[in-house]
Amino acid sequence: MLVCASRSLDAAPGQEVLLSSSRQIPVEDGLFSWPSDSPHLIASKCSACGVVTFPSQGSCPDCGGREVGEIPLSRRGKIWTWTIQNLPPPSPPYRGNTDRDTFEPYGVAYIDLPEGVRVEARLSENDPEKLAIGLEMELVIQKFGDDADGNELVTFAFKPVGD
Amino acid sequence: MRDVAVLGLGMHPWGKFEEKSTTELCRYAVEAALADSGLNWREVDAIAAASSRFSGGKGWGLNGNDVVEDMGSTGIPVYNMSAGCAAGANAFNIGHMLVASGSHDVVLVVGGEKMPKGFIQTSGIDDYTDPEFLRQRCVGLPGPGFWALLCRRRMHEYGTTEEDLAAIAVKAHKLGALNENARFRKEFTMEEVLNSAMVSDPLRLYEICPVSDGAAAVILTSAEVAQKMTTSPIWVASSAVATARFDDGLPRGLACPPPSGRAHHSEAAIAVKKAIAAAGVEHSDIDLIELQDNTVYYELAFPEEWGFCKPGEAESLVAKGETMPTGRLPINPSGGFQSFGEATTAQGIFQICEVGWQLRGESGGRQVPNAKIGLAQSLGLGGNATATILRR
Repeated sequence: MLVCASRSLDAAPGQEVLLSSSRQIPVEDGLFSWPSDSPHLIASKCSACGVVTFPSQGSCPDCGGREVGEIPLSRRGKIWTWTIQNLPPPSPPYRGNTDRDTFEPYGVAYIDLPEGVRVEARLSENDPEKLAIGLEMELVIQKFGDDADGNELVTFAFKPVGD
Repeated sequence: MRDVAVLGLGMHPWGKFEEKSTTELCRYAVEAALADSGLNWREVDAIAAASSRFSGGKGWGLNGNDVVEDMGSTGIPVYNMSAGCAAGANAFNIGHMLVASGSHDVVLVVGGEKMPKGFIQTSGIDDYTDPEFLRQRCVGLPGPGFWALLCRRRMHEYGTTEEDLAAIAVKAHKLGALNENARFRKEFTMEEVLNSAMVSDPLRLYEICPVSDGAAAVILTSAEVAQKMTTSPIWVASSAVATARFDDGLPRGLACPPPSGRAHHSEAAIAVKKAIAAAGVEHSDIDLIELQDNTVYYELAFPEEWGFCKPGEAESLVAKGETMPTGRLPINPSGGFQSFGEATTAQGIFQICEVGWQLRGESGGRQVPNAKIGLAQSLGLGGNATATILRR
């Protein structure tokens, strides 16, 4: 999915301010609604047992049923645990920056969302002093890296509410 | 089912061996295990091998076939077992069944590995339906980051301190220094561990295991064969394999449901529970545990998750020296992954070798006094786990 970005600087609630005039491309399709003024993660829910799964998949990982439908996940949740990744991960498959000179440590957390799903996600924050278990977080779509054609890759992340 | 003896144990020391192939590492381990058993290659009538995605195996994980071609192609069946980092002990499980079922009398179990440098690349194939691929592509969380998430949660729940974590690394290297097969044979002070680089907060460089090269092999035989060769064989009390339950609270991909109870590695807990039941022993009968300490965190979490101590009790056991070979609950007398580094698919067999040597009383300065029953446990990508109990 290619999206021509011509966004205003007044970011909608779910957006980081993206100044680039290049195209903004989700790091992978199908993970979150984009473009959107109020983006959400796309999950699937089993009609038989009610289990919610992210990302959306064609069968229920609990009961194996194939009667599943897509649902949007809430934009707010709480940190169950967190860490700071201080070194670049293996790439490929990682699509973000792995240049040791310009690599910036990033936060990763498990966020518990009200639909009964614990999601692994990047954080907008990488200062350990500003992170805590139980902290209320909100979904944002933020820059992840650049692709070979100069387009901007964007991914889902969570930021502290009120930040 | 027949009784199965562990007749031969062999290991190539762990390290980095630029000049040696995986096949050479395996040959060293296989020849050592054969010599230890008193049998020769022509007497081996089946192989169960650990499949690697990193080295050897013709790119198909045919690592047992590499061994056969090197040792002599005698026409025997080869079973290549793939289970991520649990592949070695998974192969042991198959080897055990081949003998226990009566299909074969002498089975070689072998695993050898040469690891690429750096974080283990858990997913390299462009498979967009694979949650592990998506996780590494869109978030970027190598093993140490995953362990750090679990460790952070433990610190929140039980007040585990940085010093509690460092104490486990100090203990591991104290034992590794006594093991001629370990890669790192230097002791570290608490201060050195606490000053090592922060890799994934709260875990530091000396609190996670690096990657290594190594190989290990075991000869399994029927009781009839074993009793011709020795008067005091080691026996397989049980061997169990499990995979993770969906509801254990640890995301293997990008998400999972929060669990009703404590989040834990259900695959390991299930395998250990099955192994203990099948062996007909109690927790208190087990004299030592070789567990998969990719990180010091697991030395705290696993004994609790398996019922060897109470939740939140592990830190005090370490502090009191109870997890040392002379303590109440000896854990990783080998020095563990902290001292060896992880040669992924060979690890499960290295653990079984260590338990075997301990039960024979051949472990020198790291010997658990009068060890009679020992447990080895491994864990692999895909929610794989194994548990093996040996007895003398």
